[in-house]
Amino acid sequence: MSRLEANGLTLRRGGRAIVQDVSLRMQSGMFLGLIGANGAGKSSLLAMLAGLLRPDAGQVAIDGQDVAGLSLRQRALARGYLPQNPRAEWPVSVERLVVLGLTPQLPAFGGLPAGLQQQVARVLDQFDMAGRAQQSVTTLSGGELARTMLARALVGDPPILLADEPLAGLDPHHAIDGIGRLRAFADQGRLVIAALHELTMVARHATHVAVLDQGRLIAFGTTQDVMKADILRQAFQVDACVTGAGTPTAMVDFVALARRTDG
Amino acid sequence: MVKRLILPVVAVLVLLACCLLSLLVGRVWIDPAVLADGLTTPRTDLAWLILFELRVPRTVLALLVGGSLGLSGAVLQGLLRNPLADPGLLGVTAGASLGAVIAIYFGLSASVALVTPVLGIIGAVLAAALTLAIGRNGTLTMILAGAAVSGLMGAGLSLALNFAPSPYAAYEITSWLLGSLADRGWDQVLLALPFMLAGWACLIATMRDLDALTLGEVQAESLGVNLGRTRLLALAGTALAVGSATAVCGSIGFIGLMAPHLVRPFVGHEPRRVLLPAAFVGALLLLVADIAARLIPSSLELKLGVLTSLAGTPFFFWLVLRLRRMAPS
Repeated sequence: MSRLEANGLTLRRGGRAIVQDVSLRMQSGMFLGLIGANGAGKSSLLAMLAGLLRPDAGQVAIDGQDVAGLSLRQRALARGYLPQNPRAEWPVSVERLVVLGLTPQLPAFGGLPAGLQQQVARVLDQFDMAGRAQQSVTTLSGGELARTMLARALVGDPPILLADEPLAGLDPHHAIDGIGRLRAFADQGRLVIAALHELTMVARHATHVAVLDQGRLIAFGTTQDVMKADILRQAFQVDACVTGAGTPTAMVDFVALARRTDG
Repeated sequence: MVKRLILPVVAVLVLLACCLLSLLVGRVWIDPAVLADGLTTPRTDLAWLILFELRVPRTVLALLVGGSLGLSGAVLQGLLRNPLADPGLLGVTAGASLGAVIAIYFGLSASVALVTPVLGIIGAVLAAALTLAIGRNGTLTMILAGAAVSGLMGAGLSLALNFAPSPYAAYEITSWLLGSLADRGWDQVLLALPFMLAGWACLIATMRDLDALTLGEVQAESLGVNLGRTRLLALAGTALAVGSATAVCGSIGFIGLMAPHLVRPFVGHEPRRVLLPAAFVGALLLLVADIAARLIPSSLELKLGVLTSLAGTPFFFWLVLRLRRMAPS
């Protein structure tokens, strides 16, 4: 059972608050969809939750322990993090890329222990990449690379996974596949937090939703409670129509509002 | 399994053959019999003296310097994830050159021979410290700081040439800057070796972090890599290993750039596994270049640094063309 708590997180850049006084309490079994317009502060909030960005005020605690007091390795073991559009810098094989996800578990020198080797094989199989294990990652399609990166993030079996737009650039088939995997991971008793733009997918698969608007948390609760027309209207400036939020057949449809004149 | 062993075995055999050649080739050709004979019975004749006091240290130095350049190049390319990175990037080479040139400029080298490499090492360490002080916050700032420090040290070199006390001093400075392994003895080997060993230890300690950097800086950090520490180790290792190499034999280009590229396809492009083969290939390349510099007939000595640059430039062109072909237009 893992708990992740944020208390009064604030991040300022250039005199402007990117994230302002955000407090969240999350625990295992939740799949939290983090939504908000471009520039609402989703990525910054995720990076702070992951302990990669130091907040100007407030703190993040994993299981009651302040992340600022944890070593980099302890943080790496406590949570997995997947940034937006992850890329591979060298043409290594798919298998090697996934093994890199085990960096905090590995001994400083020497090869991969047999137990971890099995873990890699299992996760490759789970993400349908077993047949391409020896292929160079630079030759993969966008969808395959995204699956490989997800496998990389999950291979160490972190109790908490933070993913920044993991579905960006995926076609509908692979997007559904990807979000299904994230939900399944949460159902296995992990905590998954993902910044997402696909509102229908969020309404169908997320257990909880947090909405950011200009750095402020304007709603946080179960999908059913949060995915409502008035909240989406405030966050995205759209006229939204939501049906069946929190069920597998949920739909979110919207049209842009006329430009606001009151600022 | 056997197939996997063929390449390393062949490489080691080639290196041994080159070492042997390096011992025998030069202005005075040594009869292999002298070598075989001298190993079993003590000899004190001229041939043995040339062999033991000149050829052996020269060969050892070629291996050490080439290895340092290859290793440092591999670490820097892994750290910066840039195939064009080379050990000269961080201002270390220019710093070592300036230190050594100061020794020549003030005529210190005439009194005690080892002053030149000692000041060279001090120059390398100071340049690295300056690069670190300005550019410690990020990889890009470190490259920019390195470029600035290189520029500063280069200005110092130009100043030394500008105000050279005599044309002879200017000539001595320029010819030192071209880089050479000629007339180096055991003193230089023993002076540089401890610094190189310390540098190699720092460079090899970055192995795991370089692998994680395959995923980019953010993911590497999320996996527990302390990037500040990695940068510090890479810079300190380069300052010690390449700094002392440059201090002893002048600046030698392209080895550090080429060696990692030559081995990368053979090790699946994994940054960790590039390091040691790159050091090996760096050592081999420099040894071959040094043999070639001795074999090519010329009235004046053909400087090693000139030769590596001449041979390295076509490689650089090839690299640029290949990168252009691979990059999306």
